[in-house]
Amino acid sequence: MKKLGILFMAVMIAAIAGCAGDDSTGEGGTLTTVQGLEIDDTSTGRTVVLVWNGISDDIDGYEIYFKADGTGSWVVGGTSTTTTFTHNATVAGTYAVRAYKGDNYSENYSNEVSTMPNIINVTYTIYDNYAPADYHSGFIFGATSGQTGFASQTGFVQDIYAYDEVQDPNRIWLYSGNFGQFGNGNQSYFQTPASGVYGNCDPNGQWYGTSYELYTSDSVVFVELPYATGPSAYAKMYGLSIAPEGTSANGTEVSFMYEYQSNDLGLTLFTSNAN
Amino acid sequence: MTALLLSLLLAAPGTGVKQGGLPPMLINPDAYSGTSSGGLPSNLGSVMDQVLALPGATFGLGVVDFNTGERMTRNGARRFFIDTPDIINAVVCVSRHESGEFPLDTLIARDEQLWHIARRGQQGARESTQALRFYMGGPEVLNNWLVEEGYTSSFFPGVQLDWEGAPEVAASYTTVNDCLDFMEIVYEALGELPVRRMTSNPPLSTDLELALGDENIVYGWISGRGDTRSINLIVSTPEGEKYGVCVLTNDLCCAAKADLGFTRIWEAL
Repeated sequence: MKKLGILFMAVMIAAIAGCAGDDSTGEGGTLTTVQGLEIDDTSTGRTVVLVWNGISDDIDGYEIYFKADGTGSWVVGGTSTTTTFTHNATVAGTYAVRAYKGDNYSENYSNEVSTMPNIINVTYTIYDNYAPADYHSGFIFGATSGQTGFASQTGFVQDIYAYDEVQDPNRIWLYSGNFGQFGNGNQSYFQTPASGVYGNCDPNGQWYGTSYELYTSDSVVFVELPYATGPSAYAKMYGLSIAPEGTSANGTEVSFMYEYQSNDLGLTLFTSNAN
Repeated sequence: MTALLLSLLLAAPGTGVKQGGLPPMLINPDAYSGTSSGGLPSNLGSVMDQVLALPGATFGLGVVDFNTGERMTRNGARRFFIDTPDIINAVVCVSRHESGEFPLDTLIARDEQLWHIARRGQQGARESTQALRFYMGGPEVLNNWLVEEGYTSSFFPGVQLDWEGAPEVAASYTTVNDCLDFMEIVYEALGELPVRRMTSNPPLSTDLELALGDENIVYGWISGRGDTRSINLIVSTPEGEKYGVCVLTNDLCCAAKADLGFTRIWEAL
């Protein structure tokens, strides 16, 4: 009886492991595994176009799987009878594809592709012009790490910098790197997240190319970083914290982390994380 | 709407009192109307001469009656240093607004239209006065406008900012004649709400509040620090008088001296 119980447990574990929705290497059926999954160059903004190599098996079509934020279980994002699929994404994530025929599936999930941004989980702090002069005000969004520096120095080519237009320790603006008093840097644009939506910004929405006042209630702001040629890169400043700078009368500081979309497609997808 | 506002103005006590009562900054800035009357009083010239003779300041004085176009000035062409030339910001903003080139209600930043920035500067935010030039396309935009319009005696190189390490900025300057022109341009555009909003309720001192009283509608700009103070006010009285009054001062002993000069002139009007 004890042996029978162990056998039943083993069968159950094997059955669970074989179910769709686990990982992209798990067994699913007898159809050929799809290969060559890619994010097509026509992808942009929040539109992710997937392409893959067709298989010669007799199939009904392909199921496209998605992991929001690149974590958790696969979720069916749609089906396609061709070798392409367009996903109107609201958040970054990873994709895989399986062929299906009735309830028979590819033996394995395809290779995975990702729209995940680089997550720079480092807290940076910049200060406005009323903070002490030796406090950094400028910031450069690197693909893998950021850099603070003096926006007032021409040798530091900032993407953005902090500035105060009203001499108030509770107010602070982000300036585009090429705007205003220290505008020797790069053009950037700012966008307010749609209410509660932190996983994407709208490339065709309202962008501010000069300044952006941060409110103490803000947790996220999106930044467009145009390149000289090709699509823009995008960053999401998150975990924003705005507070008076403690050693000066009217200085203000803003701390943040950021995500960086380093692909060359101009995707505007990020994780759903705000903090 | 204009008729309603006019009736409200006419309903106010028409005693001609120009002192006391509530400060004019409490008056609804949207209440504006245009009627005609007036002409400059015959004793205004002698009053101006008396102000010029006051010790403790070098004065430039000017009055324009918007109803008649009549003007009177003292030291009208003399250049005076001014601290924060919000009047220049305003006149260029209004000019570009009127031409359609850059409407004042253009959304230029998060939750901010162009006139908001001008308004903050007019209320005393030096950074905003400085920043507005950038919002308008760069510091050269204003000075190019001044040159193109023939105001070569006015110049706006920037605003000296207060933070540690702020770059040294040369002083801005203008003349009474130019300021009267600027006020006339703004006055002509006061029918538009953004123009009224960015020029209403200037930060009057207590002396100026007392001088202007609560019955007049006041638009304009006041700035100054150190030995410089400039007062440029557009005032509408309940009787339908509409004046632009300019008092520029340098070599100033104290801010109250400039206000005293304005008060003397206003009392003569």
